[in-house]
Amino acid sequence: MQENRIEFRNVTKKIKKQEIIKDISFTVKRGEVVGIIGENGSGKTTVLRLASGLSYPTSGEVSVNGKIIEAGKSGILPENIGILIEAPTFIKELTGFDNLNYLSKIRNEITKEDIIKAMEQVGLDPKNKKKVATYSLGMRQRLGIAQAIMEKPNIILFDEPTNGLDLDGIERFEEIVTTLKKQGTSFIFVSHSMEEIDKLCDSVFKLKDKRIILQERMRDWHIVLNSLEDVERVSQLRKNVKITDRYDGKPAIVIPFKVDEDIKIFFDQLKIDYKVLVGENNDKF
Amino acid sequence: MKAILQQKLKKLISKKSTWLIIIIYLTVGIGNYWFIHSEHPWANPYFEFNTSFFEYFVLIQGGGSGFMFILLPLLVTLSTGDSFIKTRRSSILSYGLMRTNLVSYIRNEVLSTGMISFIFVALCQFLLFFFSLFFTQIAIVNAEQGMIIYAVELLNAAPLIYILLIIFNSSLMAFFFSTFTIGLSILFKSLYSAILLPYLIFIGLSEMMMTMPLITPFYGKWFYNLAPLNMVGGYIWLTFSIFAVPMYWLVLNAGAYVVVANYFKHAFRKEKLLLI
Repeated sequence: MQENRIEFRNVTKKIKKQEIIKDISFTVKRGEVVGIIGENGSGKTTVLRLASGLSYPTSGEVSVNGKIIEAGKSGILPENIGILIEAPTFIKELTGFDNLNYLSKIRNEITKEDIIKAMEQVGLDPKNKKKVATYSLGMRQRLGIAQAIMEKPNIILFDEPTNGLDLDGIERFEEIVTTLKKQGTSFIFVSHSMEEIDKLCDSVFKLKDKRIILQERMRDWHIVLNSLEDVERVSQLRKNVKITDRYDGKPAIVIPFKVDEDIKIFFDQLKIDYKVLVGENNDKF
Repeated sequence: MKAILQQKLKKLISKKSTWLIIIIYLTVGIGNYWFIHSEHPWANPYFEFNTSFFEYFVLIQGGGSGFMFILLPLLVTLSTGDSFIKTRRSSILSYGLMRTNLVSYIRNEVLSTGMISFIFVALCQFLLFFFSLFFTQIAIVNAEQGMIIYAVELLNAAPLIYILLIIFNSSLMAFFFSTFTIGLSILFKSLYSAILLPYLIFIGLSEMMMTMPLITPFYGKWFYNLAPLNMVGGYIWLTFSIFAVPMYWLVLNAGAYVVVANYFKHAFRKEKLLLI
């Protein structure tokens, strides 16, 4: 059984008697990437704060690396977590490297080489003597990502991680996540946009009306049709249809749907015969 | 701790305002040398022409014609008073807390900021003492003239050690004021509150305590002697044991740490600490 790194059990959080999230339960396993989406003010950042121990539940339980968070009581925060919450801001008078060096000395577990490596991974020059005050939003975001990963924590929490990043920054970020995931690092991403995190996540939850629900996601389905006319009719209705290799002499397409019920409804309405070739988990039918 | 101190020192040095504050401090200090020099012998009949540079440095600290005691706390709050409030208003506080626990974090913050303030004020005072060599008279100490009362035997016997004691006292004061600014930075969110409120409280409280003899003559004397303004520099005119002033600041430092550390934990528990 995979170890649970983060567990939310019936967590409710109130701030000044106002309920922010209600009765939330979910787990993040070793090497799992979990996304949380929701509109502005839906409580996404609150979930990250609860997971990091910077906030604590009004009721319910949050456990991180097997330890229940009791920040309100003992003042001991969970260990081995990297965070990037909201737009990162640093000590403006120091360089990027000096900021990371300052933070690294609190735990004193890593060397300067580790900081240099983390900065290079996000595409920042560790020798750059520019003060953080002169950094652009994208550079500060990269520095924020570097501080979250530099100590190689086994859990990383990212709030709007690609905010302000250019294409190179996004590619580097995706590479970092993919590499660390393979090494067993667990992630929670929160974002207002599904597209931003969908590619990287194993599962995505949506925060709506203070509750969390597992978000059904678009998956590519391989479907065999009887004729090219059917392909044309489908293509006219759905723009994201890709024609693929024929199967047993019949035309085949790749088309995104959330669940197989949606496929049935779609093709039944068009009165088109079809056969699902490859499903959600790449199972052949 | 060493690396955190290095970074804080680097931050302090890299601020333009730090250098401006040092220049203002030295200008006022040198002005105070001239002011005292201009007074004798007519304003201070006991003041001799050959007053030594040691005494000049002590005299400008406070009481009589010295006015550095009004400036010294401001020197601390203007130089290091912004340290914690800026951290609090950045992501550094969250990132820092994720790497330690609340108690260690605030302990390191108080110690590192306090030590930087201690070093900064000590260096400024040494610099001003060094300038006294050029702007005052190089002569033998003659403390018989009654301008200095605090630990005057030590001044006569070992003037350099006495100067070190005076600098040590003001550096302990600097440590306290930096802890005070941290406390106010937890209570308020404004940069100006963190920098100016400690100074305004210092002046206001001193004035209140120094008027107490008018209300209650017997107990008021204690309030007067222990007023912060007197303990910053006015004490050179008062009859105190040599250990009284450092003990005063050490006790205040210990008390301030306990209050600040507990308030830090309280603010975190109430989720009022993190601004980002």
